[in-house]
Amino acid sequence: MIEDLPGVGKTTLAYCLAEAMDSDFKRIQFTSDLLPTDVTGVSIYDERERSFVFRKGPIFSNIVLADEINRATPKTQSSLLEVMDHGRVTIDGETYSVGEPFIVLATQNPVDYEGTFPLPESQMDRFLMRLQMGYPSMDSEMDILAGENAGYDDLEFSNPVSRDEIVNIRETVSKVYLEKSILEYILGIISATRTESEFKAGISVRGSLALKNAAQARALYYGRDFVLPEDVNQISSSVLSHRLNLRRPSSDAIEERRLVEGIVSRILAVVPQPK
Amino acid sequence: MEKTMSEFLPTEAMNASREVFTRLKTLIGSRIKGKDEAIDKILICLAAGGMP
Repeated sequence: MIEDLPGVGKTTLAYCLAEAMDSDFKRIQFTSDLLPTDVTGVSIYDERERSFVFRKGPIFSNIVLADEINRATPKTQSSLLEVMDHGRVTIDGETYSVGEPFIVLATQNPVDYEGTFPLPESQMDRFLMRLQMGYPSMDSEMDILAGENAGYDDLEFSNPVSRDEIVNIRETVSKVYLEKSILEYILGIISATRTESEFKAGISVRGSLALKNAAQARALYYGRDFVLPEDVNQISSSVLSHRLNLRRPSSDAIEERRLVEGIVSRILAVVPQPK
Repeated sequence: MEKTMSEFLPTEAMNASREVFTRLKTLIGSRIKGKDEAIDKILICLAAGGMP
């Protein structure tokens, strides 16, 4: 989930990731009249075959960009639940698998409220991380202004990474070693969110598994085959904050995000790290 | 990226992962300027495989 103000490069980042991989990529522009079948697909009657045939929707890709996901109704947002959990779609009693590897990237703007439907907690819990882009530095923006390659319309990379290479990396991530003390550290952080009085509810078991996976992936990203406490610490805010809601919600989404992240930072400062 | 230290996994798997991460970061970084942290995290998401 990439959440930030309009025009800071959320969609461009998603396009870049898709182009950097030799994979199927579909962008779905979420709007209030988008139907679940526009995402997953629909069974239509084939006159010649005299039977119903399934027409696959755009979700059947390796990378799916759900652009401005909070503009769709909760019913359409929920059409992503099964596929994000299990990588498959069930329609009319038939189950269809989506691409492998499969990743859903979603963007949303935290400021615009008009015509939006906030994602329910069960949906937010299915996103591994929430990322922010932020404004670029002056130097970076100067490069963007001076360059000819802004945007993503003409985007094409030579030598992209293959699907098999991504599948292999994911397999390697699952084998990155976690010492018992690291698992206890993860559990300590998760438990602290569950007893924190300012949160409506703590982190789910899905959330704790997400933190473990993300820590293993971070370790491998930085060239290690074992997880350090800093892998957990550095990734915790991005993995946990979007899964937590304040007991007394703020009317300002950005302010609420800041408050939640502040409490998560406080928890990280208090929970003892393994030596 | 740091030098590969391989105790628990085969060196080939570690080297292959490092090569793929470097290639992805170089390709994305050629278009997205000054957003290293966001790129690092999105690649970590990709490697983690989305949701468990």
